[in-house]
Amino acid sequence: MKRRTRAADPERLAPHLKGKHLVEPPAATLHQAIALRSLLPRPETARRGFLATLLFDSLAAPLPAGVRGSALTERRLLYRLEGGDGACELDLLIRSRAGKVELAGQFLPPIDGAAVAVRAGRSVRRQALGEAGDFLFRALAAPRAGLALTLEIDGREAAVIEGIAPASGAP
Amino acid sequence: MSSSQPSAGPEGPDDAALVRACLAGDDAAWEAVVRRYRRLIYSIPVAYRLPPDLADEIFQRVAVKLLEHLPRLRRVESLASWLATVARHECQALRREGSRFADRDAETVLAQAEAPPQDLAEALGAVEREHALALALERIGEPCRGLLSALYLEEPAPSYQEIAARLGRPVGSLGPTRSRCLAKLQKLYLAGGGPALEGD
Repeated sequence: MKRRTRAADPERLAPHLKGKHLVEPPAATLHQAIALRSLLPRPETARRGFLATLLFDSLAAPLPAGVRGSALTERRLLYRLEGGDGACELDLLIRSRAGKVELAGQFLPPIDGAAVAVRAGRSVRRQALGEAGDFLFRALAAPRAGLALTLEIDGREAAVIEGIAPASGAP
Repeated sequence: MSSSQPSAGPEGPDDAALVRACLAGDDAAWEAVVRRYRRLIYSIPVAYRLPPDLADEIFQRVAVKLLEHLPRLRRVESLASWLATVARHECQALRREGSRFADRDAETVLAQAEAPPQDLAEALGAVEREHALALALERIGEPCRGLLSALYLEEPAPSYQEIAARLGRPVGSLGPTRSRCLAKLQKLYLAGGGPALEGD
């Protein structure tokens, strides 16, 4: 005959509800552990949501008559960004000024809640996109490897374009 | 581009849903897991009577292990048991790392860390039991959560009249409601993998 186990009396739980042995960690300790979220695995689709294709590079275009190549201080790049959630175009203008680089750009159509981060060597600068999808970084260092531009949507890396160099330092 | 949202009941997503969301890169899910188990993890080095700085270190070590093992935890039956086991192992590992204490001026720290308290097993059992019970209480819903919290957690304990007024119920119904709520709490406690109570 199968013996039935009698359920324990629920009343016995009551004295343990107080949780005398449970200790709250200090807030700083808790926040440090929460900050580990930056190391969470990022699926490829979330990390690189858009694939960037170069449509136009002013350096590759023939120069207008009378313009000398060495005098160029500007470079214009046009990219098409395509992903599962749509597509947009990125118009970039890179200017060399007194040994520094200025990077201006615009995403069309504009992307709500997006930001861009530009990495110049070890320095990273971040900027929210303007209402027109525009951004401007002044006085950037000009590393030999060029600049890296990251599009961030909802705080996530959505596209990365590397090797952005001004006309004078173009690869 | 939106992040995947873990399926959430009224008491929040279950562990499996949170782990899946973490693996999809959901920052909020990670924070929810850390917050849900913060007291369980931290109370274990405290039960070992490690000083606060080492308890902090254990907490971080367990968090890092959790992060590293997320892919294997997709099918884990009890995240609480896994975390408690990791925390215990880390405390033991820290005790074995004698050199860590070499430059500490307080000899008592070394003595405490090397010699676990006599009532360690009892204290660790109590930590796991109380944490499972706290999670069950979070999940129980109203009016049971309000009633049991008022009866057993609040200090000073409110009178039956005050509790009845809060819950909008007659005083005479509190006794039977309390019994039903404790039975419901027990079900949730056992369903959540709560360890056996003394005498079970």
